[in-house]
Amino acid sequence: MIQFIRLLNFELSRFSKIFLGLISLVFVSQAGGMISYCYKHLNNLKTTSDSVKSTAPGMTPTEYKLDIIYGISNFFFYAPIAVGVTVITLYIFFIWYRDWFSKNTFIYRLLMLPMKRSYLFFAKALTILLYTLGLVAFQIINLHFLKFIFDSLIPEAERRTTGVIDLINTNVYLRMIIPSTLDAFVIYYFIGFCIVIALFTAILIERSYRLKGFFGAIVYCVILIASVIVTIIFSDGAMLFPSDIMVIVIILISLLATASFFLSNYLLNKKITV
Amino acid sequence: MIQLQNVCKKYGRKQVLKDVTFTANKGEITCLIGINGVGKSTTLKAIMGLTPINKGSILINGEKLKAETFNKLTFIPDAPITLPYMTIRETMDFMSDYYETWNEDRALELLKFFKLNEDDKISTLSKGNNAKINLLLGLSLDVDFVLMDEPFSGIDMFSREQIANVFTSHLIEDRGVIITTHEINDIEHLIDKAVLIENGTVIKEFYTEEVRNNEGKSVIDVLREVYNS
Amino acid sequence: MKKLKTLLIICISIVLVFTIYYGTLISKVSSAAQFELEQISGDKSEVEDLLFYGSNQTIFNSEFIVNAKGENLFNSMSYFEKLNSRYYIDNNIFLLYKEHRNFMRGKTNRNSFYEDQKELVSVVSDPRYFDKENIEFTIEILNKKSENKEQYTFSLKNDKQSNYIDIIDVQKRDGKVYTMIQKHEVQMLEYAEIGFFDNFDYFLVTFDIEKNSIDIEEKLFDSTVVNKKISTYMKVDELNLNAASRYFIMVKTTMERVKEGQGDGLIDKDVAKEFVIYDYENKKLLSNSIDLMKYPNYNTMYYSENEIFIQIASGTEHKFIILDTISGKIMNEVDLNIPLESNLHLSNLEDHKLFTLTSKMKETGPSDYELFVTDIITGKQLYHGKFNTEGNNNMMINRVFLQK
Repeated sequence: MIQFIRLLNFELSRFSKIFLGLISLVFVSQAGGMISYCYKHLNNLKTTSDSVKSTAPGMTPTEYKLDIIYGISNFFFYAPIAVGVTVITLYIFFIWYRDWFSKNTFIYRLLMLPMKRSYLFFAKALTILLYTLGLVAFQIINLHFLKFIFDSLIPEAERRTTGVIDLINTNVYLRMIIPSTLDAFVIYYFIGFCIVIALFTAILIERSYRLKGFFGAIVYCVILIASVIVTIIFSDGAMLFPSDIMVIVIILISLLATASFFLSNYLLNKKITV
Repeated sequence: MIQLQNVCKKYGRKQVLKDVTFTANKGEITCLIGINGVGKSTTLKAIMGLTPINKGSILINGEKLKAETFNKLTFIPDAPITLPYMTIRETMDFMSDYYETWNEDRALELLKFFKLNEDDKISTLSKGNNAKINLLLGLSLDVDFVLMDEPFSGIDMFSREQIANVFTSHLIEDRGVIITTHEINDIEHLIDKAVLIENGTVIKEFYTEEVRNNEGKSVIDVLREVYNS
Repeated sequence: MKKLKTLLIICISIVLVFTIYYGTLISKVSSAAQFELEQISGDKSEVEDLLFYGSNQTIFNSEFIVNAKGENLFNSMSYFEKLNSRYYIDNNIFLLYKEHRNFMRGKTNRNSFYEDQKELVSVVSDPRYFDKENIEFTIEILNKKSENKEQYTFSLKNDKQSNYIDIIDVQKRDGKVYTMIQKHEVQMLEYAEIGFFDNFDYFLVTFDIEKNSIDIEEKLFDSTVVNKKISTYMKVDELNLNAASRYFIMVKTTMERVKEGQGDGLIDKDVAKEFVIYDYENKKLLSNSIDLMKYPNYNTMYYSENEIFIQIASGTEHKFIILDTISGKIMNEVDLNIPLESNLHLSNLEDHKLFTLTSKMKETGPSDYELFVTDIITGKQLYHGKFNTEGNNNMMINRVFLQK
């Protein structure tokens, strides 16, 4: 087990610089976007609130108050998230291919380590999961920082008191990466992990059978996607609750992921070619 | 003992190995000889489970390859298999983390022997030094068998001598070595057993000493006979 | 440990951040209030069992279902339960879902149930009826005591290829299940000189359970064009939706397309409005003497066994009228005591109590909601309250109902 943990740590450290780059990008871009939003709207706010000032001096009617919800709805907030999602997605492929195609063929060493080759598979899959969660965790921290910037720059009387939790729950994109309940969080990332396992299997099919494998991998992915879609379509027409359909889909995805893992393990042990 | 029995391997439609059968014993240096592309490297990869075989069996000390086997045999390929951004020290630490057979004293001895600096980054090393690092990492494991693929390929003369000296040193001791080469000159005097491969098939297998003593021929003489006939 | 630095940093960070985040979320959810219902007058117990369904109209809408304390029930639901939120947005479906969860699988049409003390009946149409020659319907009868379920099927010809069908009433009497079906057909009627009008047909299918077959299938009425005038039908809400009812009532509106002002603009002008009543007992269509054109400003309408309820909220009056279904005589008329400047946002009638939600329109949408509970017999105001949203001007309430 310690060997697996070491391997996981090793795989994590191979991505650490890119990860640091990503979180720096998130930090700089989102903080910059928030500062720019606050300064831009402070002037507008002054003009507007002057014209609609209520009888109580110094008080701005609620509908004219600034809300951090709008402060994060800009390019500078979403762009680094999109970059993060893209980089992690690409890394799902790169994490394997770089061991074959980099200057040095490191896959020789990895496959010759005195441990089960499935450890290698899981170490890489967990690396993807942990860095995804790491990025999301950083996003939560950064939202608190953005709120701090917003609260510092906008006077209390001019802003609404939307908290970070409300901010996340009212934003459909943030809710996708930070679900509003713990069980949804577990389900989302479990499904994500299963998708990573399926993609890894597709990569290993290609690495085992090369050109034939490339087409095999595409067929494999199409079969997996089709089986989920067909299940959803058939379940949707059946007399079921949406929760029933979700349970069916989760069970199906779990089964497909398990089958994918066994296929990957077989390929790594019996078919892989360096 | 490493035993290959009727090993067949195809890449697509091309038959790369055809009923390859030979054995390599502990304490012997077995050399797979043949021109480029006859299947020497594929044979070593097949032994290490780095490429699947279509038929036949490969046994290491009577057992099929499994995770623990990598503590009994090691493979030194002809290309760098280290991470360029690591230093030699970090690479050695990586090996010691995973291999229970890692021998740090021997690693340090080899480091000195090859006149390498452990703080150097792999990416800054020459091709020759990269080959030495591969040797260092392979030979620092206390394993029964060492498989070397073209260790002299593309290496300068001085480095070749240095590498060749390893074979006569205590660093090899009583281990079994399988080495592939298409340039026999460098190690002709070192090898115990020669396995001649042509078009993926073993065409002759012999002990060099027997040929030398009984027939008064060198390995090169036998090669000339075989390939000219 | 030093060697596992990266792993430790990442794992500890992830665990810490998500534990704190979801820990805070859980503790906040249990105390979070969407709004506070501030009592102005009346008795608080009148609103204790109310549920409000709505959404926050920000750039990203978020739904909520809130009780009178302001607690958002969605927040305390599991992920799986939240997926079934469509069962929460309608009071009829919500109550059936709570009581007969298994039976309610796939059933979301509020008008497709009949319930008495012994049985719960549902009729469901096959959702994949497009391009099929026949539309399949399934009748399910649940014995409420034994929990046993019986199932029957019947089908309707789909010769005109309906692009929309809806079950609008289900009744069971004398061993027969009556299903009122609205079919919207692709074929459209030419209406006036310009434009078209969608064609709706209304069918009644009587299914004999004992014979396990359709007894009668008849077309009751459809959207017709006579002298360039179109008649359309709108179902009136049943007060006790699932209960046995002798009548099924619709409002028939006849419209004429006329020119508006001096320009070329055309508008549809109501020329007649009346009740069309189907009597399940005598199996015939009736009409009463009420001329609905007299109540051009009616807002909501309900009917029960023998009564029709009309709520009127105009700029000049806020009143409630009870009519006799057949004779059309006014049985009761009360003033609702709701300030005239309050706009009626929505209302719901349950157990002779009218729950009226009013709002004042603001630039950012409806806000400053107020809730009135009125006894429709005496006209007595039982409760008056105000929603305190703590500056949340984006809140939109779409439905209010008693959870019982």
